[in-house]
Amino acid sequence: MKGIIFTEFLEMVEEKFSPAVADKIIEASETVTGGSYTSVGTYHHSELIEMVGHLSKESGVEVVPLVKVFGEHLFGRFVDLYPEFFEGRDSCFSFLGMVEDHVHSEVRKLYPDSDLPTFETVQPESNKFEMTYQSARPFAPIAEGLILGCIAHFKENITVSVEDLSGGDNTHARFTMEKLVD
Amino acid sequence: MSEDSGLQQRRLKREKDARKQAESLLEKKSRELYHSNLELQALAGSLEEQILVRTKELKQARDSALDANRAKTTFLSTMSHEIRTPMNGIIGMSHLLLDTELTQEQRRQASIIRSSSESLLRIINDILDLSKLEAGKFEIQHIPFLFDDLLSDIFNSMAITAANKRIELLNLIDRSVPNGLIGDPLRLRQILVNLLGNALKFTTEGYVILKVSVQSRSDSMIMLHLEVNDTGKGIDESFQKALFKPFTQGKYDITNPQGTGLGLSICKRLATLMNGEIGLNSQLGHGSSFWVDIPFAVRADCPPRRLLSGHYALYQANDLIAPIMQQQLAALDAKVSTASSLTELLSWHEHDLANYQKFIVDIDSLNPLDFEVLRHHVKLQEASNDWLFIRGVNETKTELGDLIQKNAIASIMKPIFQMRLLDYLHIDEQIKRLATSAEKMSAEKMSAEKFSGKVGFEDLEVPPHILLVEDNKVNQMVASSLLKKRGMKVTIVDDGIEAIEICQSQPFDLIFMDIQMPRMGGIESMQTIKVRLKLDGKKITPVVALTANAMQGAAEDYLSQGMDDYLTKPIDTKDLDCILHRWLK
Repeated sequence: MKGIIFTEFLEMVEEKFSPAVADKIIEASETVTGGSYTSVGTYHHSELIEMVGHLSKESGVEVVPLVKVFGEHLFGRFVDLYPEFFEGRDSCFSFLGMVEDHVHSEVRKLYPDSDLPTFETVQPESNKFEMTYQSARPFAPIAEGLILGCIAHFKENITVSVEDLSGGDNTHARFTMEKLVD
Repeated sequence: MSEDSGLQQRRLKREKDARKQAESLLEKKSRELYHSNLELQALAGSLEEQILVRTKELKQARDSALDANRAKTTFLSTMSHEIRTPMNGIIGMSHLLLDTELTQEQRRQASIIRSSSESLLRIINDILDLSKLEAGKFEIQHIPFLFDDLLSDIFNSMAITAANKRIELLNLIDRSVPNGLIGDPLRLRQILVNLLGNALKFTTEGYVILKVSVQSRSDSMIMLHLEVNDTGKGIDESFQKALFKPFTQGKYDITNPQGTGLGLSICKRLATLMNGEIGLNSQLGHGSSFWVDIPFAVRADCPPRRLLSGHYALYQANDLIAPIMQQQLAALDAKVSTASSLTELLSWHEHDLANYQKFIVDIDSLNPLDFEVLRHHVKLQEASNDWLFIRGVNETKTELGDLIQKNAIASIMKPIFQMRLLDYLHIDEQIKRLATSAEKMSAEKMSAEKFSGKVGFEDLEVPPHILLVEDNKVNQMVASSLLKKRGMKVTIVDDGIEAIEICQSQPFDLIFMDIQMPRMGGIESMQTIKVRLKLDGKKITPVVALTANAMQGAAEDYLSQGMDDYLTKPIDTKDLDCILHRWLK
């Protein structure tokens, strides 16, 4: 898993909770690097799962909503860090539609070894959009959070319904979005 | 406090570790980049090397192709020289043979020798021309010429081919077409010979006609429109475009190859060089029409076209040809009555003789019965001055033929050439006019003079003395016969050294000098003769190079080395006459 997820997660914890909470969940987790992450590195995803688990215990917030919030936060960070991906994109659907082909292909140029999730998209109607997440890792909630962050970014009135296709494993899920007419 | 500092220390350590991870990752990526760069450089280097090798190979291939092409040109030039020398003998001797007393059969055979050898020469010239055109070494001339003479020449040379295929060869010249033109008659001839030759080759029955008209006119320039129509099979549209490219012959190049396939591509290039255009209208099953538009300047020194004024009776048994002959005569301003049958014509002759200037009959296309009827009719008539018979080149011996001979009935040979009709009928009209106005000079005498081809040196008291320097015995004979026929005294020597010796002992009016000879060649001999004459204070004799080398540029070369003029073998009698007039008059 890309290091940026780890660094952004820990920065979020330090910022939204406290440096002490961040320290605590790192110390409580078994990590290869002792909790030191760089955004350009690659780390095992189990370390993130473990840290999220400890954060849930520490904060009393369920894991899934926690991860969703992180996803939403992460999207805002992406907007700041990679503005070039948002150039000329004026709607949520048009941005999500190019994630698989454009964003992920750019990621693969820099990190040929990265094991990225796939996002299959279908737009059956002009106001409907379906995105299917599939990954080796159980991070469908992060994807959902990212989608919510995206909707917030474009300030559109869109509802999201989630259908887990992996029997609760969170490795395969379909997000159906519907844009409400104002 | 201590808990807080412990937290800070751990954070600091994690940050440090993360930095080190990032640094080591950066280093690893840098190394990877460095190695990738090395690989790319090696690849680029090997590509450059490959390009160098390929470029070298290509250059070698190009050089050897250029060498081969140069060798081809040299070979063609040499070949042309080698082939032209014996051709000179064949063509020259057949001309001489045709000037002697021959039976009709012998004349026909000799004519075939002449026309075959001339067509062989044309093929050689075609190949030479294409190589010259390819090398961009072709020059277009701008010289005055007579259009009718050019066409007459072309039609005569094709008479036998047309007659042997039983195809009528005709022309139709609009009276607006001037006779005196300035341009390149040789190249125009080449194009027309090609188009007419093709039309004859690919037509099995019917006729081939050349139509000439003026497309447009401005100041002293005209755009001549020449069109060769045939009644052949026509050409499929898909083959038409490829026709003007070298070595293609429409579908014939696969199924029935005939000729070299160079003709039309040469025509196209020649037409373009003369600022003209060439094209084709054809439909399968409806014959072909090849046309060429070429600009010419009009000569101011030529009289307007002669026209006829008489009323003529015509019978042409071939229904395809009758309307064309009618158009030919109408273009000459003659009034024509076309008989629908021989019987009708004969009844006009019997009852209405005074109404017609002449009775014109194509006896070549008469059916045997009509032929016999006509013979009988002519035999009964005393006067023979009423007829003009058109006869086939391959006519066999017949009683009518004998009768024509015996009664001296006027006849002209096919092809049915408009200007030949004009020449004959115009003189006839003149004679009749003179006779009626009781001129002192008898009509027969005038007619006889018109037809005797005088060259003009026979009348001189002392004939010009020509030195002919030529090693080849056949060429000696051809050239000396031609010169003697023109009233010259001819002395022959075999090489350059003999020429120098004889020039010291006696004066000559003109020297014809071969270029390639044993012992001493023509250039060296000519230069020595001129220097010695000058040293002795004698008049310097003009020297004409006699050469079989028809490659353009050779003549200029000879002139720059001191030759006064040049004559190409096989000797063209018109060129010879020009040279004799230039240097002896």
